Amino acid sequence: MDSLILPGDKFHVERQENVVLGPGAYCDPKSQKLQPVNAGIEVSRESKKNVFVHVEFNSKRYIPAVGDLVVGLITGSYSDSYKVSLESFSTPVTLSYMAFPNASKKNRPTLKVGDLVYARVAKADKELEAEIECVDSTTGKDAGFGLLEGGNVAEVSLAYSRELAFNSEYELLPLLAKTAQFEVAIGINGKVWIKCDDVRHALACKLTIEECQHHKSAEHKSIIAKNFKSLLNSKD
Amino acid sequence: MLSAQTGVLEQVDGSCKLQCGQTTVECSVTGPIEPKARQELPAQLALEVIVRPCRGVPTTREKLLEDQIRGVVTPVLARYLYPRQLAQVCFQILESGEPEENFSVKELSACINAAFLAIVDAGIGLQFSFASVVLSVSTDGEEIRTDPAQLDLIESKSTHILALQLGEGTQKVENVLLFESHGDFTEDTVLRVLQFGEKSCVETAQELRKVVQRKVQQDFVWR
Amino acid sequence: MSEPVELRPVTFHPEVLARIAPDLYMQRHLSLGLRPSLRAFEEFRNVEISDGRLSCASEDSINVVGNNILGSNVLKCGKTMVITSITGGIVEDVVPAKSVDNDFSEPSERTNRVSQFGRVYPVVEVERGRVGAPTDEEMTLSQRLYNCILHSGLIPKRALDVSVGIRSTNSEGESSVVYPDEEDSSNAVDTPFRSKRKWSYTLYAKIQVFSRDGPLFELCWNSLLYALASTKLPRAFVDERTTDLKIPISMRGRSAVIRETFEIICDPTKYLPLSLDAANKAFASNFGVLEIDPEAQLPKDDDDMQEDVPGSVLLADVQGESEEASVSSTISVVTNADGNIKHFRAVGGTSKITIEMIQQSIKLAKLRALDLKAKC
Repeated sequence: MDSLILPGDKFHVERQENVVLGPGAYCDPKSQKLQPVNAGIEVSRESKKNVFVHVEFNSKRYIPAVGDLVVGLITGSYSDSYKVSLESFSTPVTLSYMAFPNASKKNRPTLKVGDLVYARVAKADKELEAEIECVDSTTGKDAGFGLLEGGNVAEVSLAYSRELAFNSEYELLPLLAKTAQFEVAIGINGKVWIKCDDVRHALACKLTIEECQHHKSAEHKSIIAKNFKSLLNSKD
Repeated sequence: MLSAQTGVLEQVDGSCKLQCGQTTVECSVTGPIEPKARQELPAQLALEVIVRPCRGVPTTREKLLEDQIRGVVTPVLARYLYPRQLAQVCFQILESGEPEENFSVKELSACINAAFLAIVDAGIGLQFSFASVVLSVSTDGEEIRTDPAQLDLIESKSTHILALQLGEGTQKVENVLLFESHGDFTEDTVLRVLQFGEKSCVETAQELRKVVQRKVQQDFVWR
Repeated sequence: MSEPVELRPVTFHPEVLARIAPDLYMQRHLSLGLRPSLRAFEEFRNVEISDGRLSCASEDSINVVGNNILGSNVLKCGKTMVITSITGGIVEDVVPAKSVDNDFSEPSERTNRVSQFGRVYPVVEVERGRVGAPTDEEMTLSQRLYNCILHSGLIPKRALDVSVGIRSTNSEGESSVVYPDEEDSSNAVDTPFRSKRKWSYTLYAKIQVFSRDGPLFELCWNSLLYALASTKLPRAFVDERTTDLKIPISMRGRSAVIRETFEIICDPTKYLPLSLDAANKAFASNFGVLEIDPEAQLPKDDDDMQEDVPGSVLLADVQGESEEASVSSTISVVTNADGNIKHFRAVGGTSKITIEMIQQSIKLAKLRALDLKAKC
């Protein structure tokens, strides 16, 4: 176990200045004391100028943060925006018609209710409904976002979806790729979209990802083998 | 004495089932969610506490429990992180472990400890850890018992519940969140119970810490 | 920036400031060494007490007809008024078949402390100009009062036992009531009747609060205590003729069961005072703990720099909206003057409660109990 940290504990950070706080770290506005507010694993990373501190913890409710790549479900459309659900029973977010590549007043996107989109969180103020976008707003160009056609969605824990998205050394997806061909879009709201040409492969991939979040990485290989075998054998 | 498991309920954000002696409670936490207009607080997280008794319908007894739990949990939440939001904390008492018509201390203590685990499980920000114990003083006024059994409670001269805010590896006592006593006692008893209770509260907190450690290990099992 | 911007300090009327920034208003007062009510930190408000002449037992009762109030109290503290009225009923106890014979019903093996005490069922109503379902505050207050009365042992269970008299009518048609304890031992009352049944009084308290101005538990408790001390229980008797009455009643038309019924009648003239356990008679005081915010202090002259401002202060008898809103930790003590504590409650918010504060609050509560006892 790396370093477990609970609310009320102290961060193991020597420096006082240039500390950058990530999720789970909180600076009390009154006492200016740095404290963890979630229970999890303490992670601190030092660069030349700054120290980055955050608590790696798992939770179920996704709270949008700017820059997050998410998989959302269109649940409604208005005159100038879509309503998108990132998670069941949470406040929906908005996706403006103007937040698509080559958008103009006349050129309206053609998404329907029930479609899945891959998008990025553009605004996430506590006071307002969050906004997502399907375009790289800094360049105004297409950045691989947009409609996700077909495929399956695997639901994983938030911590696991972060691991899949951010840890490039994590071996599950490369392992899967050896067995099957697939397209994948990882939303860090705990939704992983997978598309394969073969339905059985798609199902096996989904089951594997959902199952692997509860097992050690050493067991992943056997889980993949087991799932593919059982599905491919159930041909008829 | 204390055993607990987090994440027992599927549909809520955080949950926990906690058993302490003969008392068992289940706690669920949902939040941060959108509050009703009357609950909304302009700058901070609103807290709704609901206690369901192990039999019958909720009465004023449960209302008092809710009030006491709210008093303990509110100051330790990182409330300003979630303005205009609501956290809903529900308790279902599964086993009371005490004569319900006369006492409610054991349920209260179990609820407070369960609330800590469930809030941690839900990932709602907390500024400190907290833990709670029940203490009873025997009829001769000498012996102080932690987590008294049902019979000890009935025979006791006074009953006390202590909930402490803990920091620094859940070792250091930061503040008294709730200290409530009933019965027949003196100032000397109050101070002795407080001193004794501090120690057992820290012990309870260590137990809770172990539960959290298991939860974190399970969450990051793929590492 | 072409035009110069001029900033003028804004001034508010004290009442306005108290409303919009209660904590600042409070801090400014504290830095002067006073509270918004102009009391010192550890000064209590005076309470005025009367029985309100509500009880039907008192000779100068203001309402005689149809009055069923057994004890009453009107407590005034500042602008808050608390009116408590005690009413009651008589219920038949369930007597276990074996222990009918022995009069002293001491539980044999183990001592169950709480079972030796009587209860009062209080209902608190905080009047705020509208009707509706009871608020959470009213419900928690009522429940707390109930718990405290029960666990304090203020009312011994024996004090609620009804010693039933018998009304007998002699040959001339004159009826007289004979009570077992008033009787000379030579004149025997029919004992088989007495031992068969047992009744006890049940007490209800209705506590009405007008002009709420701060925490209420302590005011309600003290008022309830005074009301109980003034409570007189009516004597009750049964008619001689009904003592051996047997009435057949049918249970769902299937079997007929013979059951005796007694009509128990309260004596309109004779009352016995409710005997409270004097050792357990304790009074309530409340305290608030407030952290002093060094930034909200008034600027000081150089010559009174020596005064050292403590980190937090203990305020006795919290009063008013601004105090209640800014006090984050509260201590409530129910004690008598000898330091026999019945209930203690400390709720810590953001301000730290120290051992010294607990000791100080108990000390002050004892002094206050002495003072309040004198009014009884």
